[in-house]
Amino acid sequence: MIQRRGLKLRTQWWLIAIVTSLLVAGMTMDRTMMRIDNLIYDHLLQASFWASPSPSSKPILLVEIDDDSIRRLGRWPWSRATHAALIDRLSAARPKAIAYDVLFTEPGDPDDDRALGESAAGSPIFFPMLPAAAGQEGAAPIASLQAAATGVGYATIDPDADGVVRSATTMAGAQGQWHHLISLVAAFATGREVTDARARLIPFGGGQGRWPEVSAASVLAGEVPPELIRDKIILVGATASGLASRYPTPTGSVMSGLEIEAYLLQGLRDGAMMRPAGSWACLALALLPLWALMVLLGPVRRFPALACFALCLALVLGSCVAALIFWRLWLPPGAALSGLAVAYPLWGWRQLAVIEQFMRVQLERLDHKPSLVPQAEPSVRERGVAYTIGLLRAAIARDREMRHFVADRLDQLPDATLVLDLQGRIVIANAAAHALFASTGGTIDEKANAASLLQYFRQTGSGDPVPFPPIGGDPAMCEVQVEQARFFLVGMAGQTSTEGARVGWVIRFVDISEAKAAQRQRDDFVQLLTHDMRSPQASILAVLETASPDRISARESVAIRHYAESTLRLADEFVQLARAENLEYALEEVELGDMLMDAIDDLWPQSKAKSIDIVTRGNEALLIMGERSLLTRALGNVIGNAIKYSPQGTTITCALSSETRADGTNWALCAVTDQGPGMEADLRMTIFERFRRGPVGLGPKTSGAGLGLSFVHTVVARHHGEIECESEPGQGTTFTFSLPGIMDTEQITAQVL
Amino acid sequence: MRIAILEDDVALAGLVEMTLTEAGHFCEVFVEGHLLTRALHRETYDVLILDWNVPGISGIGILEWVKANLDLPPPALMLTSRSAEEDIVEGLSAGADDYVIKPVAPTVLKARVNALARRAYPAALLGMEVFGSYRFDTRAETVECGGELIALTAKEFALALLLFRNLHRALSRAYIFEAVWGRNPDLPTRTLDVHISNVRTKLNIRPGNGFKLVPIYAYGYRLEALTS
Repeated sequence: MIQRRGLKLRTQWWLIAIVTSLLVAGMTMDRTMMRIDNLIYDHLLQASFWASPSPSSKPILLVEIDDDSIRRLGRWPWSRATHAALIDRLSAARPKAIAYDVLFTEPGDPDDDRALGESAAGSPIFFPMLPAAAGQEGAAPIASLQAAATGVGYATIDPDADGVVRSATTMAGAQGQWHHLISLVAAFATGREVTDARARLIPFGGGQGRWPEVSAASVLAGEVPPELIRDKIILVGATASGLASRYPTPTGSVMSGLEIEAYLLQGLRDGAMMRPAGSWACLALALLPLWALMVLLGPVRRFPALACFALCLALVLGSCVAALIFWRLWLPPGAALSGLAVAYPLWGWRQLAVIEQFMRVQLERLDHKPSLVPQAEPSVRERGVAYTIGLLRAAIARDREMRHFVADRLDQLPDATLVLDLQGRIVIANAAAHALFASTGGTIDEKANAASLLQYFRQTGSGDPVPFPPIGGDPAMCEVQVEQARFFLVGMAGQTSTEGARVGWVIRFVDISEAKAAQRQRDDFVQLLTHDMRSPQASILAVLETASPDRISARESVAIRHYAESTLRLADEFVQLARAENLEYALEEVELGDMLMDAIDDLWPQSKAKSIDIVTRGNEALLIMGERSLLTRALGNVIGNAIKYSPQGTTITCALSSETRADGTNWALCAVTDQGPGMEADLRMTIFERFRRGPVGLGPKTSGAGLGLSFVHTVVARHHGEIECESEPGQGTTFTFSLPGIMDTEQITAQVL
Repeated sequence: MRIAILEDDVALAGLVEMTLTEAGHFCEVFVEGHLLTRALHRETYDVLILDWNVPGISGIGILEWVKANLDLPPPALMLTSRSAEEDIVEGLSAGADDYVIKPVAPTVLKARVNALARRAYPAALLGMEVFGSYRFDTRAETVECGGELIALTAKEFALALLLFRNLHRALSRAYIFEAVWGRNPDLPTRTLDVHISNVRTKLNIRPGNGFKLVPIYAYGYRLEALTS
């Protein structure tokens, strides 16, 4: 699924990259974004970072034929004599050059024309001509001026499509021999060749009123000091309202043609003209940031999307400004900016769409899985954003329900339970755990972890702290103690994710204080029987032993002794049964024959009293793992019963043998057979019942034996052995012990000797 | 012999005192533990008979006190109602030389006390030693039973003689090992049981012959002579 989503996204990424690239390239070549480019260009020129030298140091003086001049000298056009007078006045002050931007293309009064020509010859002077345009002939200045002029050029001003003048007109190619009037002036002033530079954007900067200007009338009137004119380049032209056009410029102000020419002249003189970038540079500026953005935001993204977008915008604008300031190169950023503006939301939208689809599919799949908790049906069924939102809401609600469900079930557990992460931090603690740790003085909060909580516990016996995580794998179990009388069984189990990776731990604290208390009570009870109940009986026997025969009659003495001894035996049997049930058996290698001999020797007084012969058959050494004292007593109990129920002078046979069973295990057998009255089948069954039921409910007939046989059964069972009883009335009884043997016993005997 | 009896049960104390006085010993009864320790400061006793549960210092406590405070501790016999095997081991391990469970028959008590005394104060040994129907020739290392010579290996003879010489005395496994085999830690533990079994079978040490070999849980063995 993830693979498919990735592939799909990758395809879309390529599509968006290619389409936006083509779009941007098209816009660049087509100059679609020219209005935006111009706007940016104008604002850049208005910016304050352009150097603005003081007007007085400027080598340019504007001599304006302004409203004041018209008022003082009469209406326009002036006579050529007036112009000649003005040129003479200027020449007298020795200007560096004069660009006289007034057209003298039609011959007038020949004297005046000649006089004008003579005046013009007084200093380096340049005159404009009218270049040829579509359906119109060009017109040169009159002959006398052509002869006198240092140069003649066209002085047309071409506003851009939006009416703003940004660049100088070039007519290179169309009127090959003609140059712009101001180019000629600049070449004259700097001494360089006149070239049709590609740089033609006029460096407007510093705004209106940058150039020193005087009125033509005041020059004629001699009001202008010659120092103002000396060595300056004089631009003469009309600015009076109605006479000359005024043009909007990138600086935001409206300028007369004369002022624009001054800017142009300044740019040409200082080499400060700017040129627009070529197609390749424009394409590079437009495409590179776009591609950078696409790569940065690509399927394997590592940076914040908005930051990438801002970075690319800054890259475009930065390179645009830097090129303009440092290389005087104008890179129109409009296409690049619009490319970014298209690609960014488009790619973001496609990503969102793919994510939305993925999320919907996953949520639908989740929605169809059976849930442990009841959940509400999503309200919207038609696909769309509302549908996905509904699914997500349902998933969140289900998650909340699941958390509640888990916490609730955990809380209902009677045992304190902690769910931990791998570092031992508490993920969930149930109510019982809160209660437990509140009682130990600890609290379960954000800072609590396994180590801080387990410190309250000590392992029973050793007193060691509880290790976390548990050593030697899981599940780990240990018995711990808090304070004096509170015992817990601590179980730790590792938790794995559905993929099988270890994700944390569950620790459960089972309160075994009551079981411990019961165990102690039982121990106390056994202690009571072993000592406190036996002691008075021993004292009774001592009293009987020491009392003089005349105080207690012999018959009563025997009866009392019998009862005291019965009580002692019962206590002994109970204690032995308790031991057999509760003791941790210390198993050792023992020989069944040795134990049989011990048991028979113990019963010698009883067997001798009834003249019963106890015969042992089988010399084989039968080694088993066993608890010697308990097994000896078990054998003794069975043989003792046989003695008790056998008539005088009979024989009891104890047969030792070994047996290898079908599963290959080795068994040691001991069969105790008497020649007693035997048992009915139902009584035999009852005996076995009693084995299981334990020491309670003894009938008078089997008094004393019930506990003894229960003991036998318990001991044999705990040795993983078996005890069987075979009996028929009148045929005697056979009890057979079967105990697991350990190995070929003769080998061991040989080895020892 | 001077015998100190620690027993808070008057009837039992009376029985023990009577039995041992009849056997020709001098007895003194103490009903509390620290009364006995106080007496041990100024008196010398040949044998101590100690009950476990008594007021003041318990019988076990007395054993520890004696070990810590007396240069030459007298042999001690635990006489108690605590019948569990674990208790017997604990008593013997604490330093008791023998352990008798109440109630006690007067003859058993006399035999046990005499065995303690014999161990503590041995008589000179002759070349020929007689125990019931058994005659041990310690020089020839042979043993006869009812006039019949019984073939025993050297170790079996040493073990049998050890048991008979320590009649009525509980011998720990470690003690028997050291006495018969010397300090040899590499022997398997079953060795002793196998030898005991052999001695018992060959010499026919069975109640019918007047002797009974009693295994003591997790401790060792004791040979008893039966009084018919």
